[in-house]
Amino acid sequence: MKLRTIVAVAGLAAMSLAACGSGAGGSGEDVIKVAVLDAQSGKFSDFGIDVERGARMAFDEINEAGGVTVGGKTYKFKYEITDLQSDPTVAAQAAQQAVSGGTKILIGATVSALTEPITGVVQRSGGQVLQIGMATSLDRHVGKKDPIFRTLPSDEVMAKQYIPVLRKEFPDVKTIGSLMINDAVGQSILKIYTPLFEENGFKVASQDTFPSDETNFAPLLQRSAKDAQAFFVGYTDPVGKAVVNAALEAGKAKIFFNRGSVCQVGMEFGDKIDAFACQIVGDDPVKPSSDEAKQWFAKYEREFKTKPNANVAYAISYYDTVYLLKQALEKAGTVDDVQKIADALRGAQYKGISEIGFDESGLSTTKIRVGIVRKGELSVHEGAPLS
Amino acid sequence: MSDLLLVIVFGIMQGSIYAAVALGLVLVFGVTDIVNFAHSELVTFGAFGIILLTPLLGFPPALAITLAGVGIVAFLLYHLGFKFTIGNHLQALVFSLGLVLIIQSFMVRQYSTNPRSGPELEGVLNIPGVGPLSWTRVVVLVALLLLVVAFTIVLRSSWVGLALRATGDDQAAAQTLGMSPRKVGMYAFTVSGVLAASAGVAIAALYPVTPLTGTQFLMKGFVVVVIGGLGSASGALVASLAFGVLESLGATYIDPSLTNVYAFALMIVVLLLAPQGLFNRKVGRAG
Repeated sequence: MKLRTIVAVAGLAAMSLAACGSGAGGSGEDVIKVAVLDAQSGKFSDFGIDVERGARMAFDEINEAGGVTVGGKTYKFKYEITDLQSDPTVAAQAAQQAVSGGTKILIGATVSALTEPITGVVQRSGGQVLQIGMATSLDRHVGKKDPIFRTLPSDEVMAKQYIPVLRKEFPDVKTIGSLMINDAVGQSILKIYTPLFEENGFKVASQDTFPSDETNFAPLLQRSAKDAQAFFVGYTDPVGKAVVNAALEAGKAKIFFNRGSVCQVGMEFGDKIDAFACQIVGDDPVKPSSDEAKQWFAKYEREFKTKPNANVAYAISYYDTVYLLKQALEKAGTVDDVQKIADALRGAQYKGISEIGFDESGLSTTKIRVGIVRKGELSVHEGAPLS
Repeated sequence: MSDLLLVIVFGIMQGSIYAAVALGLVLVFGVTDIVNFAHSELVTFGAFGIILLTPLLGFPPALAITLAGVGIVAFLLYHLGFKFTIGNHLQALVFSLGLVLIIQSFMVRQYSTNPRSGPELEGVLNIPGVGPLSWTRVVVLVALLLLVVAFTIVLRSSWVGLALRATGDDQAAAQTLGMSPRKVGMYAFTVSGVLAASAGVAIAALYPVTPLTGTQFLMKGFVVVVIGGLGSASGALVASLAFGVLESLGATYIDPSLTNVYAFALMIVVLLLAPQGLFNRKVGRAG
């Protein structure tokens, strides 16, 4: 009796393993499992909530339109959203759980602290799992043999599109002061942006860093270069706002070049400041660049019953990424072979609400726009072409 | 010279906010021996209260409702949880940490981490020999100093203040005189809530606020409480001001990326020289 039970269980296990391997969903609908891993609670949830919604909109639209046709068969996306609770340990566990459950595509995360643990799981899978995320930490892994992709261009690529526009729009600004959070991301930003500023004719007269939990910015502004005509600040919204406040109080320069995508901070100050520049990824809800974008924001507001804020620009990035993924799956002709899907992503371009894509090595070629707020009014400029 | 004076004024300003945060911590610890991490969320409530209510009601009613409201929240937190943890430090600590996680998650979900600013005054005051200070900063500094003075007077001259001090000094003796520790604990929590709300209002006027702001100030608040001496209000006040000035000077003239280092270095030095803190009355009395 006991032997029969063991054989029966082993047989069932073998059958279900075979089903997983073939990508078939048994007698049910054929599905492509995708795990969306990001923070829905805790300090990083501000980005996580919006990007998850963007991905969800795309998955639902694609499924409602009939799904994805791969190798003559139609599949629906079966996505599972996991709250990483802004905790790197939870990120690692959730990624491992998804992979152990047979998921081969992981989307996430938007911040480096949560993305690195996921990347670790992906790398340990030996090329069996694909990761698409947004965080800066992915720059160390993209463009190599692992199927890892970053939807946003690297800081270097963004800076090369951003700084020439600043040069053109602010011809009278010759010297700038730099104020940046003192962590790995901040240090990396300074390393990239400082020489590019100098190349474009901006003299970086002072460069100061501060802890990420700094609240007293007044001494910092006292310390910064007295002849700075503008400030390069980064890289979070609270920091941007605090620096502007402190600069106004100290009677310093009123032009701010933000390393970040939030123009809203600049708009809140209205005509108290001369200008505030930011990098727009996706599209800006305050001034959508097309009717399509306008309709997309309206749909977002209807579906989630909330007015799109500045972070919803990132939701567009994930929305378009899901469509790019659909395109890659159809081109690859497989839902299981991660290397073929990754190869199909390399060199792929997609024009949705924004224009996203990857070059042949897998590096993002996503174009950015540059937002400049003057007297509370936002103007949007195309990023400089890359040579 | 004027630059140096301005930096010192900024330091006193920052220190006065740390003092407002620390006094609430000191009060609760002094009376109940509870280290209340959830104090940070009361600060956040104060900040968000004034930010959300001012556009609806105007500043004076918003201020009154915010202070009273957070005091009531602190009162309820005491009755619904903390009073049962008196005497069990670990239980109180875990309870307060749990509150922080729950409240922060709710606040982030509800209000996101987009920074918000509180009401502020336009313009700067040019102080001869010092430099420009925003009117907001001047008013907040004066208000916080008045708050500290008022708190000291209440503590010294009122019956509630006497009960708080007596229970803090010797709970058993105070009990024999009819001062119920649980009732006095309730007073301590309620007053600390009002103090936390005051700190939150001040912070909202000066800095962009997110649901995580309270925690940023709480850490510094704990450091000044340790430096000043657990249970010592005057110690916390002196330590806060010294701390704020040290931070400002260090950030301006040495390296702004090391402001946390100055804080904790000072704490370590003080603890090595005076393990009980600079002004710890409890240990002094026991000796």
